[in-house]
Amino acid sequence: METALGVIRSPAIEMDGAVRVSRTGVPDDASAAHDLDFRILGPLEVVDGAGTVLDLGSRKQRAVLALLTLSAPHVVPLDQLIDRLWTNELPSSATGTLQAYISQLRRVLEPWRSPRSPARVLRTREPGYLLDIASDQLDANRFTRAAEAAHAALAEGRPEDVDRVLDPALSSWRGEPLADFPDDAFARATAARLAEVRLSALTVRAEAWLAMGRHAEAAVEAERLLQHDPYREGLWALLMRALYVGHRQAEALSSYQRCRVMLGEELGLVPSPELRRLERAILEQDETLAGTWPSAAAPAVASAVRVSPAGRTRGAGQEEGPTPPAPAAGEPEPGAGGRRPPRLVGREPYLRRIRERLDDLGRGTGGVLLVSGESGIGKTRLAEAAAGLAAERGITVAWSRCAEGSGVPAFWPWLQALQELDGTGSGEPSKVVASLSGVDRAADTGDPDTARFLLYDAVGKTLGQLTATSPALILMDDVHWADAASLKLLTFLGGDLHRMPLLVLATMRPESGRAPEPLADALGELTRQRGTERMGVTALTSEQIADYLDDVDQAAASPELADALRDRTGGNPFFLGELLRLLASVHSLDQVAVEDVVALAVPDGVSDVITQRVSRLPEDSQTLLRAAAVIGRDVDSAVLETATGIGGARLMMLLEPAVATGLLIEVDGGWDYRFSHALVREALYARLSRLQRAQLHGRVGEAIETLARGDLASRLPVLAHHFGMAARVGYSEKATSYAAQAARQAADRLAYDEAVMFWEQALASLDPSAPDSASTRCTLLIELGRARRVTGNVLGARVALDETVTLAGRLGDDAAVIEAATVFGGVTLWNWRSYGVVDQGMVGVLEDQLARLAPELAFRRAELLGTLGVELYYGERRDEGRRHAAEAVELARGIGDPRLLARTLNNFVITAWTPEHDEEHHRAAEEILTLPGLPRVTEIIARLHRMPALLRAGMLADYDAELARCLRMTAEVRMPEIEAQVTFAAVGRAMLGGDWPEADRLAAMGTGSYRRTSLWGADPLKLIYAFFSDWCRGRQGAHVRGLVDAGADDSNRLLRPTAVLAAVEAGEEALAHRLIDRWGVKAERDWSWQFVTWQWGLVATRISRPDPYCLLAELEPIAGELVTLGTGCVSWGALHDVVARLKRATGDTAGALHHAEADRDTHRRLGLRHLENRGAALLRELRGG
Amino acid sequence: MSSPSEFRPPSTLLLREVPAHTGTAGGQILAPVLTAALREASAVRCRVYVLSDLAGPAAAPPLAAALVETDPAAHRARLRALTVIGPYRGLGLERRLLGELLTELRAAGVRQVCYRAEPGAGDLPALLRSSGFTGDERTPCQYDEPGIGPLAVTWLIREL
Repeated sequence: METALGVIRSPAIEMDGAVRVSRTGVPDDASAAHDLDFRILGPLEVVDGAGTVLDLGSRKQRAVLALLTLSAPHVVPLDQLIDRLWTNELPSSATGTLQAYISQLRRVLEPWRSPRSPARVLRTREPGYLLDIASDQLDANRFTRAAEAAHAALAEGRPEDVDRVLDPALSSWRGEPLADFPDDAFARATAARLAEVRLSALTVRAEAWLAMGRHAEAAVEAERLLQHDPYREGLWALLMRALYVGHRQAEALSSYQRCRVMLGEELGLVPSPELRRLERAILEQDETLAGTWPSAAAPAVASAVRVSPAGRTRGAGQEEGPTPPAPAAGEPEPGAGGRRPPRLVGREPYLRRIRERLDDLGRGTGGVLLVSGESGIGKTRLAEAAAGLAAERGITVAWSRCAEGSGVPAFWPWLQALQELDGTGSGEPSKVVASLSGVDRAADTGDPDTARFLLYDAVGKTLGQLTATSPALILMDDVHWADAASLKLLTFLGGDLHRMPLLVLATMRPESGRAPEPLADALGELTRQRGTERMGVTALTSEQIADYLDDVDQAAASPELADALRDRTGGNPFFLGELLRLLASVHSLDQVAVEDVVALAVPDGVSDVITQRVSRLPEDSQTLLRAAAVIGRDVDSAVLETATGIGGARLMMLLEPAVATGLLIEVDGGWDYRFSHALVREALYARLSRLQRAQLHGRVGEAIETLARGDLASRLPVLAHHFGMAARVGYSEKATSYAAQAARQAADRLAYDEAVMFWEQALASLDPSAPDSASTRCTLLIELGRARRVTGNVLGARVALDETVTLAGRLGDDAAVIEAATVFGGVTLWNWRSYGVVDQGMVGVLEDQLARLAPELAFRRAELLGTLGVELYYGERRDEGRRHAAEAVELARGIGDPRLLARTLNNFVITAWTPEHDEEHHRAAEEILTLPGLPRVTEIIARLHRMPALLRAGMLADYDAELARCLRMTAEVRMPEIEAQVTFAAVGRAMLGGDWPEADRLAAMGTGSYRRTSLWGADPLKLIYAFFSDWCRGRQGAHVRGLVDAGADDSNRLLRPTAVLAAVEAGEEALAHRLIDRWGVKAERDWSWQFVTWQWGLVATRISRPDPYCLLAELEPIAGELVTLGTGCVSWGALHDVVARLKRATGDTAGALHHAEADRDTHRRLGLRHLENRGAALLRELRGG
Repeated sequence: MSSPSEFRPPSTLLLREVPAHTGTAGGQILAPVLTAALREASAVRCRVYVLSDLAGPAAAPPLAAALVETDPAAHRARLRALTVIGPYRGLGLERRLLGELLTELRAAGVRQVCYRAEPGAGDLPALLRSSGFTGDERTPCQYDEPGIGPLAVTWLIREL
């Protein structure tokens, strides 16, 4: 064992840079990379750690390596390589050839590297390639350094060191540098410079010999060097001094003459003053000649220590072309050519605000910062800058990105953020992550809404823990693509963030008119929350573009160029960057002129620029990019390989040019890719035909399926997405199946909106020609109906379920009919029909099913009876309906299932919502509240049903307590349907209290929530509220037109009395009469009866229609009640008022006075001052009159 | 229906290597040549490359195929055939396939590609010549008999 341990340990101990051997005995990548020796002092050569000369392949391939070697470790732009080596080829084909060389060179340089691990020596780095080697790995650099050291030794009076320093270097000289590229300009310039360095080194060596008294050798060396380079006066001087010191004065002087004659004859020159001075010194036998002759000291070593590429004069570090504002992948690596992060131009006001928010964050106040702007405007760059600012302040930063399409699991951005914040991956946070990702199924509370609340709450608590010790910034990119569940969670948390050191910076594209509802909802709600703020990022101005150009290029940009670029790009930074890259691939950027921009064959958008850039890549690379675009912004290499059927090495080879030109980014720590900008992917995707997209999605889906093998669960959304897109080209069955599985999974994870979306997708993917497509459709429709019902989309649910009933009826599938029909009999606040509508078809279906139902199926029977009862509510068979519901309740009691009982009681509550059965209605609602395990929504609904009676009776304290409770619970369930009704109840209460600003605010909110459901009533209720909110404030006479027009529609008949009242109040009595003639004055004995009758009463006091006596008979018995509509959306004072007025109208002054007094006293007792005043005023009027 | 002049090859073509036997879709296009090649050389040295449409149905045959035989060290390769199927001829796919093929061979370390142009070899020799292939000087080009010249076999070679 000891031996074995010793073997393992020893390589680790040898940290001296010698050969490092991995456990397998093969040099590990890193050491192998460091052991490579690049030699250009002679023909190009690379020698590995074992001393083997590598086979570098064909001449062109060697030329590529030579160019990279000369620039190492800096990036050589791809366009430059092609410029130098392939002048006459199309860029697309030259790029392909280059890529083949690069990948072959990689194989030669790193034979141990697995094809899937990143290259360490020959790396890709936008905008091209670089050789990531240390300076010492190049013989020319060692040589130059040795020459410098020798020169220094001589200058410092240590001539004896010179041989030792120079010998190894001189022996590495194998001949003319880069001798195998005799015709290449880049090689010639370097060779000339190196030859100069060598000559200077040899001269230094000879000088050192002379200084050490080895004058004969020095003289011979000087003669030898002069044979190659006779015009070097320094060498002539050395020769003369060496000869002189060796007591060969005559030869020294004749050397001078040789030099003088040669210069004179061949060049017509005279020797330099220095050489002439030397001649004189020899003639004068100057004693200083024995020492170092100052001015004849060795010529300085060529100043460039590092060999740099020939050709252009700009330094390697500046040769990278423009640095566009597209997001860079992570930090530039050391040795990657010192890429300078581009400065953020024209964004200072935004950065200032971000700094302020980050400083607030440091003080414990977080919030939500929404950064919106069109694509390419630089939102992500701003977020990156925010990340940098946060890091400076010691704030933890977590990134999360939302992906386009439905291919990611619910809560995806939150999962990423939580995982990043929770570095340890243990304890509470990971539990929450598990429940969000559905690993740990939400505790089966049996109530989806409670479960969702608990889950959101847990996330909030976890974030609280994670930020307890240090503040955090979550950067959520592209929230316009976030799933509905994530958006809901954001709005849920948003309300509390101002009390927590957590700032969420979310970037998004501006909402268009067709923004998805969940996004519009979330934004609406977020903007109402404290601590939320929006920043709209705008386009760059011409001045800012000029600044930007100054930044990426030394040459000052002309205002005209900036204007031209602004015109072309609309000031969009991404477009600008892409356009500059395109221009730079044709011109040198500092030569770009206005005409180039104007003349560019770019019609309009950034997408065209990207398309042009793509067209410069090899065609197979283009194909691969198109397939990658179908996969998504993040490209899993394994999926792309499997989908396209090519190997990993070839895939990397083909994608390299896209990385080198900045269209793709290599994802750190893996071999996956990411499109550098969403627009790049979109441009590629948009150029595919529908058929191409469909086929490619199918292939991608199959690839994911193949790769997922055992673990399909985590891939369901993405499988549903791809097969869904391919449903019409033969993947229908898979599309439907995966969408259905994804829908169930989403519902399990409490992401109900996603569930709806997946059910819809499953239906859309269904192939109508498949054998049992009709029955599959029924099953899916029922699921869709249920899912929609849960999200509050009642009308949508209705559509799906009606279709099921019809379809299943045709198929003779009773079970499906019953299942579909009874989904509606679930627990609801209102009847699901529009006001006054009975669907006779559905009544027929339900009755038919009841008639044929086997007697033992009591449960089904209860469901059917309850549903039928509600269905009959708006018609003449209302009483019969109530009896059906009562029977359903009795059946449920017999069965003993509390859920069924709650459901049937709720059915009964609705059927009994009439003036005659108010008591039963109220009692049934109370009974629901006594049932165990009540889902939160059911509880809220039951409470809402109980509340109107409290209001009518003036039990305002009880009413307020209930309302507060409902509001609290509603915040937890967040169903628009419930939200709307509870908010309306609050509206009515605010009216009653005379708090008009609050009433208006709540009414707007309630209408907003209501519109998100598809229930009947949002518009009529809005009109009624608008009228009464003015009327109650004494502003009569408004809204006549709107009400009259709306009332013309039969489905709005509820607001007809209001329209007539409005006409009367506006003094348009003739109109009021005409309307009554047209519409009649019936008050339905349904939930609206009291409110409607009150209004007719008011009308009758003015125009004596409807008959005041009849109305008195109806109203006098309930004169003590406060008036309210439905569950309270309009509430006002006691009916005493209208009764008093009717009494006056019918000549009963005493009765009138009595009710006016009662009116005043009721309101005084209730503390409703403005209504008390109303009563008092009426009283005065009656007495005065 | 689009007219032939508007007909363009799909933008989703990709070169792939497929197993070298006559049962594959690519093998079928090349059938006679492939059979002959497999008689002369081991299957491991024969490579079949196909140009197929990623956005086409999975079962659709490739649009073009090429057969290459390499020497044991895989430094030299002989192009034995390059074929585009009927409807796609004349759209530049021959050149496209050749270009991608050369890139692929180059990346695989092949230094030299040759092609034996026999009489009646069709348009391929012309394509190769315009793509940097040159006639081998070793090929005898002087014949005493008039009329035998056109029947001569020429080796076309390109260094990569």
